[in-house]
Amino acid sequence: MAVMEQTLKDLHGAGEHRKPLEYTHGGSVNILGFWLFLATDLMVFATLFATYLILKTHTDGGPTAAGIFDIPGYVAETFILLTSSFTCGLATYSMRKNAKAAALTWLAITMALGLAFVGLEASEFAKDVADGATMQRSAFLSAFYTLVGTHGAHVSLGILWMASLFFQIARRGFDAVRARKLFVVGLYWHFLDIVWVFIFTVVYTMGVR
Amino acid sequence: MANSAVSQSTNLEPQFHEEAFPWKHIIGYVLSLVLTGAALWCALGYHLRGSALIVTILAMAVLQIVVQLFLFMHLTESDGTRAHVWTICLGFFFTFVVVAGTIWIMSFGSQVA
Amino acid sequence: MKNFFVTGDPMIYASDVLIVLVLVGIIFTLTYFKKWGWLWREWLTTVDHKKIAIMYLICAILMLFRGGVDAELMRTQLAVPNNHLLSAEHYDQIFTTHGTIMILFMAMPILFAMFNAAVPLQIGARDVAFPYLNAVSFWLFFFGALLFNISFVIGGSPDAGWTSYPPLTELQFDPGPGENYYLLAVQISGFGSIATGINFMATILKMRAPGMTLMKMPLFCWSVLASCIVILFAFPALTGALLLLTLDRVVGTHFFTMLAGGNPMQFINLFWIWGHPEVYIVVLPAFGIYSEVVSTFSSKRVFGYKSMVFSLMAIAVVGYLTWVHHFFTMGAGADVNAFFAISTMCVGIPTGVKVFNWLLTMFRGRIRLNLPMLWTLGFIPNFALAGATGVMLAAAPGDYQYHNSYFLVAHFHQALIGGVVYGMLAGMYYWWPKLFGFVLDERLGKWAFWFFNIGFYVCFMPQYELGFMGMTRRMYTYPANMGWTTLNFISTIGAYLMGIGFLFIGAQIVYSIFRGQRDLTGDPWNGRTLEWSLPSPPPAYNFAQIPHVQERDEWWRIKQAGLADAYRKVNLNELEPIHMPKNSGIPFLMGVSFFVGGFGLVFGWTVVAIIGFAGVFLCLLARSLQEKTDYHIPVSEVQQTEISLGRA
Ligand code: HEM
Ligand SMILES: [Cu+2]
Repeated sequence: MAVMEQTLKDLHGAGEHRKPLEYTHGGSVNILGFWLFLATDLMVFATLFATYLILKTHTDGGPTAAGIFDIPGYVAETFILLTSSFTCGLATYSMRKNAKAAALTWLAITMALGLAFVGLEASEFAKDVADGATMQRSAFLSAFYTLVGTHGAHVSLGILWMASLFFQIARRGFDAVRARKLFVVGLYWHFLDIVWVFIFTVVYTMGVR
Repeated sequence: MANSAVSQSTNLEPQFHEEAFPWKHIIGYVLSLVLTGAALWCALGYHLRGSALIVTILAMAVLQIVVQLFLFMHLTESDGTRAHVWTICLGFFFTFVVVAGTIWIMSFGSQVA
Repeated sequence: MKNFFVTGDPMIYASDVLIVLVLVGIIFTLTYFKKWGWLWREWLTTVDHKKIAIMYLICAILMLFRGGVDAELMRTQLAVPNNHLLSAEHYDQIFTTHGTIMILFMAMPILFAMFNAAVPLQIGARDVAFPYLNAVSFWLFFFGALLFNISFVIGGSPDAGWTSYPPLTELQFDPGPGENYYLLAVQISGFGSIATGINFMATILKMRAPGMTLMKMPLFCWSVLASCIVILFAFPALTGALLLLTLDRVVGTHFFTMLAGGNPMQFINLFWIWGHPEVYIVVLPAFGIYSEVVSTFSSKRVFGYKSMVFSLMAIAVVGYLTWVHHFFTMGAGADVNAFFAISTMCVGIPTGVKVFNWLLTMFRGRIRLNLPMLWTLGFIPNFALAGATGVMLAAAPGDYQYHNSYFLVAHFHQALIGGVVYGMLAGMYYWWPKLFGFVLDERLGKWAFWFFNIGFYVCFMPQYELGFMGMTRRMYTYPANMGWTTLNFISTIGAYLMGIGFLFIGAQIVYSIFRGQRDLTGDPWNGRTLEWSLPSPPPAYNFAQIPHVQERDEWWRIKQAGLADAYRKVNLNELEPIHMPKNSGIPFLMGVSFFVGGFGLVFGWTVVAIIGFAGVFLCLLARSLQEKTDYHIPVSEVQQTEISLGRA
């Protein structure tokens, strides 16, 4: 739920000026709210991981993990996403230095890397599907596409969210609200990186061995 | 304080002491690359096998979480830290419960299936 | 289109007529009294937690009615053997809608009504942490419930039980839109529940008045916190389970099918990872209500506050680790069953602690038997029995005997009605004057209580025995020679008594709207916590000045110190402008969009589905681009309001 509300007057506002801008003016409530959201999203992935682990050997005589996973492809995806997590962190860093141009640049680079990631993943999926490894083929493939695809959908949504934010910041610069929004989208992005690290480890790397 | 965020400060004051150079982020990035590379080295280079491999690369994935949380996500800074840490710890605990519990419960089921 | 509207059953035709009449009636009334604008401004776009509470409450009572009618139909069908009032197919649909509605569209909203009614007032806040998100939650619940409820006239109801187990619920065995309705309606309202969980957690952690440390918080707030923790970590498992089953049905994947390597047991596993904690989600706040009520109506501090807090948290966490007890008979192995049997029994310990604390709170108190207290007293023996039968079911080998028998049906109704419904009714009676400004009539309420409480035992005690005699759940009829006839007949009489009890509640509400005693003091029960320091109903901003809290039962302390009158007076010169969130139509529109999208998916109309979900996306975007989402109430207006409330 990307909707986070501008909140009421922050009552615990003592020492406001010593905090990063995004935590002021009620922003800390939103940031906590977002951490809570991330915990629920983590649980969604937990159910998908659990299901994948149960079904990964249920290939029904069809394609297997070792058979379809493309090593250079997933390694490239991994390094791209790790790099984007880094550049996204730099966007937050620049925001805190009130360097608007730098923040926007890093944001744009992050989106570009995100697009590259999604593009690679989509082409990997397209190739597998063309080879007959569709998600209707077996329980293993259903679970694989759903887990990895859900992550991909999250990344795509993140890109759209960043794009919307890019224009807001470009037009109006930073204030407490937009600083908080950028910080929060950053949290989301790093979180997706964490999830990917587990997909990388549990699905791909263990799958090809 | 009574004024809202909307009406105040369109400019970001240098309110927070960020480092002059983003060392934390760079260290984090390098660490994440090293950890990923190491996992690949163990797995694709066939330097480890069986459960030793699984444990090692899982451990590296966990270290990656630590990197992201502390170096990128600012988990322990400013206010509300305690609540953030609790949230994320409970999140990992219940993730573990769901995944490990499911594997334990369903392993019998899959022998039957 | 031929099968679009359900045809052929006189009862359905009667409902069609009724629905059309009610709709026409509503539209006519609103137009005649020129109330459309009022409806939009005051309700559909509101973000005020008190109004959202009222809307949740109204919906929950309507859903209790719908679920109750389902229940009475089933009990009528089962009153005598070989009955054919309902066909097998129709019976299946009714127990499915009954169960789903009671848990997801009655218990959840009435719970959220209580959260919204009490939490911000108890912690001295002006609203919840995310008022806009709160409205989104409500409208997702509302349109989810609507989607579910239209199924029986449009397309046909789901009929595979509220648990919706595959492979029965796979397309192959259960074609038609019924199951899709279940999956999408529950999914949509589930998003709303997750958002509510996040919202109230943030509210409790961040919005407390100065001085109110966590350990000074009223126990109801603690119970909400515990419940929200469980929502956060359990509901996503339902989201996942429903998503995967939807994919199976809509996209043709093989998660839970019998073919291509699917494993139906995994759905059952995921379902109960949510399903069991769900029981605690709904019962923990009821525990919180009992704590408030017991201490208020015994005029004593609650006994063992710290142990109450600790046991709430313990139940929340340990309660998460018990889900396999719903499918011991799957045979996951002796080690698995043993672990989950023991963990289940462990939950009984903190629960027992709470019961003793309530009893000790009452001990030597000056007990007043008002309606909230009556329901609380009714709850205690009920829950003791539910606990005892629960431990019987938790013994895994024993469960092989009781599983899916009427013993189970009796057990979970004892927990859900005796624990949750009684608690929510106690809460409703307790906070009703705060929300509406008048007290519900005691005399009619006592009739309701006694009919319902006696009816409950008459209805469900025979069912334990029927379970022992071998009657299984979800049977639509039974032969005459089983020896089940007498007990079933008695049980049905009990169900009717409960129905009469419900009608008394309805009558009581209508009567009290006109004749109920007005609450002029704001403190009708001689309460102990901050909400009772406010006028009933409180102004939009709740607190003209945010209180500084010193003690646990803060309002009680103030009254004991003789400061109550002074405390109620506001110094008009010290007021400041009050920062409030603006109303917004987006949550409502977002609900509509979800409804359209869900409806499209139910019937596989891709275009409609895309339009609906595009609408959702536009709503999110519109909100993200909105700049001024809040405003300030000027001092003069606050002064006027306070003067008109007699507080200056
Ligand atoms: C007026 C009071 C009620 C009566 C007379 C009643 C009666 C029944 C009956 C006859 C069944 C079907 C049993 C079967 O054929 O297997 C049933 C099932 C069920 N009831 Fe109730 N009920 C009542 C209230 C409630 C409440 C308040 C809740 C929840 C908060 C609830 C939750 C359920 C559930 C979850 C099922 C299982 C549905 C299924 O098998 O899929 N009931 N009830
Ligand atoms: Cu259970």
